[in-house]
Amino acid sequence: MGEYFKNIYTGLQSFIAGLQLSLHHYHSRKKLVATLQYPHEKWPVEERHIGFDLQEYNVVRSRLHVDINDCIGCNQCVRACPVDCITIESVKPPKGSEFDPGTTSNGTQKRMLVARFDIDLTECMFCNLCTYPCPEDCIYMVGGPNSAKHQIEYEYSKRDRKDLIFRFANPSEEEIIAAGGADYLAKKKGLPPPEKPAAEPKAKPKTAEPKINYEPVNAITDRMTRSLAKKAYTAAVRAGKTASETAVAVKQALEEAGKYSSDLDTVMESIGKAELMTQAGPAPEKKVVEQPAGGLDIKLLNDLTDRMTRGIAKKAFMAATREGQDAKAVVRSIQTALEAADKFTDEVKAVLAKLESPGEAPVKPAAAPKTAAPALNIKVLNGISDKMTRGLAKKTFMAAQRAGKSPADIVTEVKETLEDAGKLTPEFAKIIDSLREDA
Amino acid sequence: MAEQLKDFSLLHSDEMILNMGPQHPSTHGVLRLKIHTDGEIVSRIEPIIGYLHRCFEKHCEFLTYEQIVPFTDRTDYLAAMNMNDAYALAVEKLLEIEIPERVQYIRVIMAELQRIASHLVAVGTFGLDVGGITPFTWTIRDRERILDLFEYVCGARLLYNYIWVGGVSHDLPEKFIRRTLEFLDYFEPQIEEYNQILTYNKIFIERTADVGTLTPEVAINYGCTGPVLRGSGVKWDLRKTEPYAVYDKFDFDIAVGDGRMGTVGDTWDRYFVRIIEMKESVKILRQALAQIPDGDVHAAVPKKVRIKEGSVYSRYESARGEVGFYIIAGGKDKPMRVKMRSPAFCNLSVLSEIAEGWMISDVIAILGSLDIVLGEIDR
Repeated sequence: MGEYFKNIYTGLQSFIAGLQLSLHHYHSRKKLVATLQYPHEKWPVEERHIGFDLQEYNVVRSRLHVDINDCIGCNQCVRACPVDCITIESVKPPKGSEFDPGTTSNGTQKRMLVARFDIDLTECMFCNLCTYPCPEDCIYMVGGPNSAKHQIEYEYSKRDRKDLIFRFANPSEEEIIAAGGADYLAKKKGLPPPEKPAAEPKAKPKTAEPKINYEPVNAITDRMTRSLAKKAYTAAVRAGKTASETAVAVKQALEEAGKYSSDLDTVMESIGKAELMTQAGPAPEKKVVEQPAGGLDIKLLNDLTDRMTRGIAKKAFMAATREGQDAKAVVRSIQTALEAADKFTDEVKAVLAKLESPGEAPVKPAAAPKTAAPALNIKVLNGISDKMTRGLAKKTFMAAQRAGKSPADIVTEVKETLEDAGKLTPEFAKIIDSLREDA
Repeated sequence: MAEQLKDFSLLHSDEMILNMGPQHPSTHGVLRLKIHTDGEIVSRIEPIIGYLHRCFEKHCEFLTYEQIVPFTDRTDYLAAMNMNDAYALAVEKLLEIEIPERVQYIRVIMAELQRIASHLVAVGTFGLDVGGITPFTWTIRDRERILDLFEYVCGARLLYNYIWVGGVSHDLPEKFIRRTLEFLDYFEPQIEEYNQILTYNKIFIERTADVGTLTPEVAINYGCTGPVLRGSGVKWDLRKTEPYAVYDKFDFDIAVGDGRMGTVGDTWDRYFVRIIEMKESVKILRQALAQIPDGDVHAAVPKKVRIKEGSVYSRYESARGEVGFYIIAGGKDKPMRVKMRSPAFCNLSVLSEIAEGWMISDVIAILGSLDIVLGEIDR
């Protein structure tokens, strides 16, 4: 009974205590007010000293901002971003281009034109990690290190999610083309890359340019000496010296380095006589690529299971082909190389036999359809207006082409499939027939 | 006083399964409880989790060590600083680098402020669960001041990415210490107000005292940590028992439940431990703010974290208990495996054990006293 009344008493007591507190807060509500009528009232910025006390404080993470004129396109922020919300695409002007991407406010010469700098703020997690590695301090959370330059704007709310993808770089098409980004522009629009007028003049001087003839210097056996000699030789040739002058220059350089010995006299002599520049012919390694000796296929050596053996065999193969040996000689040199390494087994023997007899070397099956049906252009099928039919037609086309069928077969097969599916209208049949005409 | 039903045979009727959550306001997030009831008496609870699973651990394998830090924020979003700190501690242990003393102090200050902020949410929502709305508005109001302090320091209010591997992202601003002391002066009397309106309220005591008693043995067996374990009277706080950072330099007590209102380890004790812990945190903060030395906060930040093969387990006392990070380094700039021990996960596992025999309304109180954060349980 006593406890019953005690409970009522303590219950009332705590009830009154709570009411007292509430009353107290009611009276002092002006002092302790915690809520703001948000859209009408905002936190006073200056009073909270956010972003203004110390310039270097990177406070207030409302939105990422980029001073695009300062961006050098170094991609450091992209690498730092844990959620990959930054996309940068830049166009590098080709060598010799007169395009000037400008300088940043720090005075750094820019090397490329930033053609695209998108930040998807729907993905951004405001971790601030991208702002630290930036060498030009051009990416920052608004209210960040450059807050003196920019006004802080707190609410970056948008009505549409699409508006939250911020595109900072907006160079005009002319600018991109001027920077040598015609390819980039075409790719962006989904067009085939334009003809490259720049590529040809670039390639020409390469072949026309006379090459320095290093043959006499290469006769030096000691590596250190040779590299020293080569350096001096190149410098002399570039300076337009005659052969005998070059020989003197090389000798002098070697003597200075204390590497000259009487053995090198013959070398110097040959330099004195040599033709310093040669008209560059076709590159020597090109020979190998174009004409594997005797029509041998190095890929056959991949059948060798042991890694060491395979490596040795391939090495010998390459060396022999480079020397221009015929098929038999190549196989023999592989054999001797493997025998020397004690790796010549029955398995190797079988593979080599295969390599030697060209009849057994299979013609690549994958190559067949490519040659069989290059005449047909699948793009013609895009003329089919119905999506389902188009898909089916393309599928059949690809399957038939892969199977190496002739153009006529492909067309009939596509037609048949569509007929089976009840999708073949005269209009579509015409389009499919035009496949062949187009070819 | 509420009573726990021990003998079910007396009142046996058909079992009913009640589904609570994942959209239930008292489950503190997207937790679903499958409550097997007998009348209104709970016989078993199956917590169903995973609604907030974001593959944190797998995701870490594709991120560099620095990039993981903002993801740790998102595990325990009510104590993000603690999670940052726990992760940074683990990586530093693996890197074997010495952290400047100023950084250690800043971390302690941030961790304790965050602990207060987290406990304020725990206390407020617990009051809300058992029917008191006013305490919630008060605690959230005061938490807002801590968030203002965090925003002042690092610019973010909830997910900070402030504590880095080897340091912190910014030094403290000029007026931070003064403002924090102002906050503490304001905050200490507020704790008394919470006590007045909630802790010693008769109705609140009736709802919580003696309810859902967790004995120390059960708590230890289930791997409970943090205030849940301490509420059962076990003196276990990693800040004291296994001091990391500079915690050994501060004078504070481990808050433990003493059964003041009922039995040791009841729901009220678990709640009250958090109130005492806030006071202890204020104590630590005052000492840390007075002792903080000067120094460069970026001195030990490695330019690129690249760890040779090795592994580490590091434990940390967060607001919810022991956070563990087990990291296996694979010699790259990305970890091979990161395993996180989630304290709230272990604390939740004990729910079925302690809620058995209580009524459904008591389950709400018991669950509230466990103070779970689903972001951390599901990761």
